Amino acid sequence: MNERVKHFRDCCRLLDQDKEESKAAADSLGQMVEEDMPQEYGIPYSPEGTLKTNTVPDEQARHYRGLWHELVQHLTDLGYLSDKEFVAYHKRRRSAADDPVILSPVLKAARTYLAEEEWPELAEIYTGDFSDIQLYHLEQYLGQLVERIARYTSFDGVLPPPAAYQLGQVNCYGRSLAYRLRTLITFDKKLHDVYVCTEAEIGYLFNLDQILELELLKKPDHAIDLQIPKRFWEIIADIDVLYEKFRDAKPPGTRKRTIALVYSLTANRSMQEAEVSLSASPSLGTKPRWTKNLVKDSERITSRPYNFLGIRILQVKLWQTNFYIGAVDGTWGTVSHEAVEQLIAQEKEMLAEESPQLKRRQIKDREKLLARAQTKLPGESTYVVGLAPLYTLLAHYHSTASAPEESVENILEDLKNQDGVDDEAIDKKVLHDDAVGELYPDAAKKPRRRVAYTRVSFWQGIKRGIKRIGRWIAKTIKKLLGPIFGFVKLILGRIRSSIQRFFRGFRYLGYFLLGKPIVTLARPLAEGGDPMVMATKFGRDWDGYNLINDEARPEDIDRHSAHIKDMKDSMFYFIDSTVKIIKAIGKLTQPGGWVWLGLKIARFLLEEVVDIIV
Amino acid sequence: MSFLKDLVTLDVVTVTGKFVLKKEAKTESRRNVQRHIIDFDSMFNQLENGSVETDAEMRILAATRIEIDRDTYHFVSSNLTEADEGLVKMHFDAVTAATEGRSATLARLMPRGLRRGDDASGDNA
Repeated sequence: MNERVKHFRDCCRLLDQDKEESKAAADSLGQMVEEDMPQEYGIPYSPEGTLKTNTVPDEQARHYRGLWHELVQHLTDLGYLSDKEFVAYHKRRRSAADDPVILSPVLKAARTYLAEEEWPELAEIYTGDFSDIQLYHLEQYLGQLVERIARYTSFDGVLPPPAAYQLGQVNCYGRSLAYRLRTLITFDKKLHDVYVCTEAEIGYLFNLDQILELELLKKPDHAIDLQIPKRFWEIIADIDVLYEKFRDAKPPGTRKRTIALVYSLTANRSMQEAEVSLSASPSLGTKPRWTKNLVKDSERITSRPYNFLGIRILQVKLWQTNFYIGAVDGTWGTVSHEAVEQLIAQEKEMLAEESPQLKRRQIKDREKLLARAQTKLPGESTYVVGLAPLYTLLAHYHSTASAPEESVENILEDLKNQDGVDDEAIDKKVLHDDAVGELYPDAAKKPRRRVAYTRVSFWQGIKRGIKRIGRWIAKTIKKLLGPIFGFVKLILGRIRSSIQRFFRGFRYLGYFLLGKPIVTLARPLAEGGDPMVMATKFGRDWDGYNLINDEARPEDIDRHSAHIKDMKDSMFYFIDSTVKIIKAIGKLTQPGGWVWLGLKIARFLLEEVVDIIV
Repeated sequence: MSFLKDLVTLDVVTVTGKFVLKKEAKTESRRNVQRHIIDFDSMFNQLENGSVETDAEMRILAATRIEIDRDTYHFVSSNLTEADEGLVKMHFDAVTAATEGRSATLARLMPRGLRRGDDASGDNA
């Protein structure tokens, strides 16, 4: 007989006996009936009154079921639901649509959550007392609710820093901070049951700050500041930013330039956890000597917090991209190893498909990246995973929510082509089975496992993409702006100088035709003296007469020589340009004249550009 | 004939001396104006006519004549000082400019078909 049933029966028997024993038995029965049993068994009546989920049409129920699963996960992560309630829900989740009582703890947790939430739009969604919220209220706005609560457990960088949050406050941010500490810091199991961050956890925050060399929490007077800086929030809410900070931080006592994860698998593919460690190496390569050094170096930082944090960051990223389906617990086990292998296999497959379109150099680069992402030491069961190359590969991956439509179709098509899989089987598999359950078959047995629900929705994704582009432009504009402005300046300079030359030529032509000399004044010999004159006059037959002051300095004489040359060149430039303009005007009256002019201008500009570049 | 001969030959003459621009202060009712004055017209006319009458110390540093058949005569003053070298160079720069200027003028005045480098493929082709 089940122990708990036996205990239940014993308690019942004790009810009418000794007074003290009867009281203890009654208390124990109360605990079992009121708290344990509703989670384990379907109770035919609802302690919350009428529980109805009648607002959703049947065809939408499946979609809503997914949202309920997600809500349960977030509520559990933030400590609104206990692990026990999470397990109970997953054991009976298939019946939730027919038996709303299963959702009773979820409703209770959601009420608590909403009471703590500072959400301006909440007033539009629900106006009454939060304790009066019923399942159909939640169901009506389930999408928005899930979207909102998911920010607190997401590592996609969608959680904005709080306007005002002080350590110790019991609200969503306090719970989110505790969740992030639990997820990222592994070296203290005390954190496992911490769901609201208080002053007692300040040490963990300092540790995180120290490992990442952020120095955001450090105060000059060593006083504890209960306000968490905005930048700190931004870092712990975005796994990519967190990784960048981790990568740039240097583990003490090491000469780090690259980081790699070194671990061994035994013959039966179980993991030797003690040997899992990060390694700091001066360079990243694939030669045996490099890997040997890496393994040696890894021993220095094996047991350091830096090591554990690195493993967790990698797990979160693998989890976020749906390669890793285990718990983010800092234990690099077989599931983590398989996640990396799956990623590498997928990348190799993609490379083979794309190879015909790639250049040899590109193929080599991709192969090198893959080799550096995961290497198996020859003759041993030791694996070396390069963090930076692996993260580069992962950075290219879209999450499930933003996967392109055609890839889903391809998957279905591939399934169809497999032997023994007919349309009906696919339909049953994809549409009628619980997809979450298929991917994570033991959610009830392994409550630490989580589904990676990406928070970057379509519009958020676009917004984020635009922000990234903005940041990229801002970064590159500094590099590009100089050359662009320089180029434009050169073009404009050329055009301006041509115009000036044209009018100068007009003036010189006037001098030439009217028999006026061109004059260059040289600096006087003494301060305040009379300027010296150098004059040249060309007749209309180009006979020339120079009147030069014999005391002029050589540089002034050179200036006059240049003046003469410029006079001749500018004059003919003016004449040629004028003739061209007249011809152009004449051409405009002909059919296609404007096209011809456009081509001429384009050719002129092209020549100018080529001239400038060359 | 002298007009025609003048037209077909190219003469460049360089004269050196103490040419300075005198400032003349002119007082007006409200302001003082300084004007630079030099009578280039009369000076060049005299130079062209070969009868320069001035108290200034002037000398012909160099003169060049290029005939129609490109026979060229250069006259350079003797006893050139080191400072005169730059002036002689300037003289030859002026000769080059005059030669190129005349060639360019002739090229533009030449009928289209006779121009050097012209071929059948013009803009209208």
